[in-house]
Amino acid sequence: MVSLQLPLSTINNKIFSHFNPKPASCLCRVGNRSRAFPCNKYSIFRGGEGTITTATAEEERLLPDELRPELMPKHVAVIMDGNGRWARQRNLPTSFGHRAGVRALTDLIDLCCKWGIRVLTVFAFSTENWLRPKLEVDILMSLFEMVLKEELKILMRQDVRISVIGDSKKLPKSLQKLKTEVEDTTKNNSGLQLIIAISFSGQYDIVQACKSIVEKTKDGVIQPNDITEAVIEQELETNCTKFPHPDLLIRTSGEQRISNFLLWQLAYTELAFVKSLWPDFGKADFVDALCEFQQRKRRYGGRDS
Amino acid sequence: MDKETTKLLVYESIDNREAFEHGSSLLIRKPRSSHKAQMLHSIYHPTTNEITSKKTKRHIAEFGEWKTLNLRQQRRDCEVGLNESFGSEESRERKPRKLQETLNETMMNGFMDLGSKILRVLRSVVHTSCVQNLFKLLLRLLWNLLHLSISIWYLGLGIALILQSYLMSSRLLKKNGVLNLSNLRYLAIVVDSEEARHTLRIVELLCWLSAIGVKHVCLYDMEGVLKESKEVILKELGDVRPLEITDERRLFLERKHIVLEFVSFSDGKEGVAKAASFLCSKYLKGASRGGEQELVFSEPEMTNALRAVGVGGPEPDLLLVYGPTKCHLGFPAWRLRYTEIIHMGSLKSMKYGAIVKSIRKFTMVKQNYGS
Repeated sequence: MVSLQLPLSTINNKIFSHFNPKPASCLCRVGNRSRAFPCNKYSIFRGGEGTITTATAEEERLLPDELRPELMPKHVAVIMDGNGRWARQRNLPTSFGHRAGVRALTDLIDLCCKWGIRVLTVFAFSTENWLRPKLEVDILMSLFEMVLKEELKILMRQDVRISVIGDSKKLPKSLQKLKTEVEDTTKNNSGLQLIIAISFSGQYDIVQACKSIVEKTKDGVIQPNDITEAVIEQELETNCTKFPHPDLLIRTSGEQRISNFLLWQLAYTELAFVKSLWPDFGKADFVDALCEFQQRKRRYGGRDS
Repeated sequence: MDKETTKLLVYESIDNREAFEHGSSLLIRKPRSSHKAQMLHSIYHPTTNEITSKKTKRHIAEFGEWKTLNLRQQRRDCEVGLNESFGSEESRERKPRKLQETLNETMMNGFMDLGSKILRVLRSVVHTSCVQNLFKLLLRLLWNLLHLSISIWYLGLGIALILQSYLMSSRLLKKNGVLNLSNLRYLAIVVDSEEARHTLRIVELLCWLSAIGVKHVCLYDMEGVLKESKEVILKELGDVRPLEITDERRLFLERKHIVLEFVSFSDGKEGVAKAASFLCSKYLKGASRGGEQELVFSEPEMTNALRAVGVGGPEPDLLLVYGPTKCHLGFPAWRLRYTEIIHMGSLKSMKYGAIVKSIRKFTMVKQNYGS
């Protein structure tokens, strides 16, 4: 790949990224998708004299040449925007766009497993999305249920741990039950942690953290004067992971805002705004975003959050 | 004719290359009786020792071809020689020297042909490696040309941007008309703390914003450097006043002066912690006064609590980040819900045209706010 260090911010990914055509048919092929590549973090190889070696060297070989394994982010957050626009461009119903988005997500999960990213947070449904037409909301809820059920086996094989964050009271009962089931089934997995934000917003997260702190204060566990940032941090919904602060935020469809996602946690996150729509987001765009992140790390080092 | 010589002659019609490679020991029994037959044998089936003893490697490469090309001629010569030598016993003693000369001549011819063949092969080998080198050079040239063309493209793009920025600065480019700032009610600037120490640049930036028509600006840097230089900035600008909290409700009515707000990291996460503490105290008081109070917590309540502890402020519509990194460096998170974030690069390289372009881009953005 040609890499040029020029100080111009407007680099259109369309020109220089690899052409990655997605088929016009956007039927969800989740059930038929076979993952030939096992994504266990450590595979066992027979060594020279019966010694066991880990496969991290093999993972490093899988990385594209332009990425350095020691500078890979631990936590990547993604705002999956652009499904509706993608479908409209092709004169298809919005639900087709969402299904195509699911395929892009599963591809991203595969890549994250391969490249050793520890946490992937995806913004599936915002609290503001409840204002959308009821039909679209119902389709989305049923899509979430279907995807969770069908992908569970494959994700178990890949050693992925699933956590769902957001206001679950508003979700349908079946989805709430499935959410608990999926979290229990995968809680012992030690590979990639996939955090799905459904019915979530950054302000809601801060409010519920403060609410639980107030409850603790009422119970006498904590005093009002002892409330610090660290206390709030522990009460946020991202306390389910060891790496609550994303290193890299990717938002597709060219919009340059956070849209009420992980407000507290994004203080030092590299913001990458990608022009392509979410169903078209592929390996090339992901590599570009990671390259940008690694360039910043190489120049300025990571900040302590 | 000698029986063994006949054998030799018969053998020639079989695979000659194989005979050359293996003839010295395996494929034919070397005749022992006749000295001349042995000599003939060595011509047709020279051993490896004989080959290397000829002091040339070329013999090895051209064995087969030499044999194929010259065999018939040699055969005819040898047959003649044989017939002559074995024809009569009387003539055997009379013509040994002639046979010797014939044999020597044949050998010389053979070796010369072999030499020429080997030279031809070597030339073709050299030619092939020349072609390969040429091909590699050509590929390298193509690669460098590609690099050059991309560099020229970027150079052209850079020049176009600089030109556009210059033209915008000198107000020559008026084709887009006046900026519609009705959507831009509150602009926030995040500056890297190191760069924030250049107070004059900050003042220049604020002058530009004032010239564009922006009335409400929030300045943020993580370490509070801008807060410390607040007095200097206000003095330099003249017709500006700081934002007071009570002003917030009247904020968007005031149009005469530019209103500035100075924010740092302590107004961000620490501010939220203070607000949480405030809410806890409030609920505890309520509980002690009026029995069990249902905990009703919502976002507007949080906003009010933040205002109460002095870290409230309007949500910016546009956030311009001046610094090396593309992140907002801890700007009060509560206020960043739907803020457009644009990374402007380093403060050193700030340009009037770039600000106008960003604001114009913002005015064209359509937000659905999730619905």
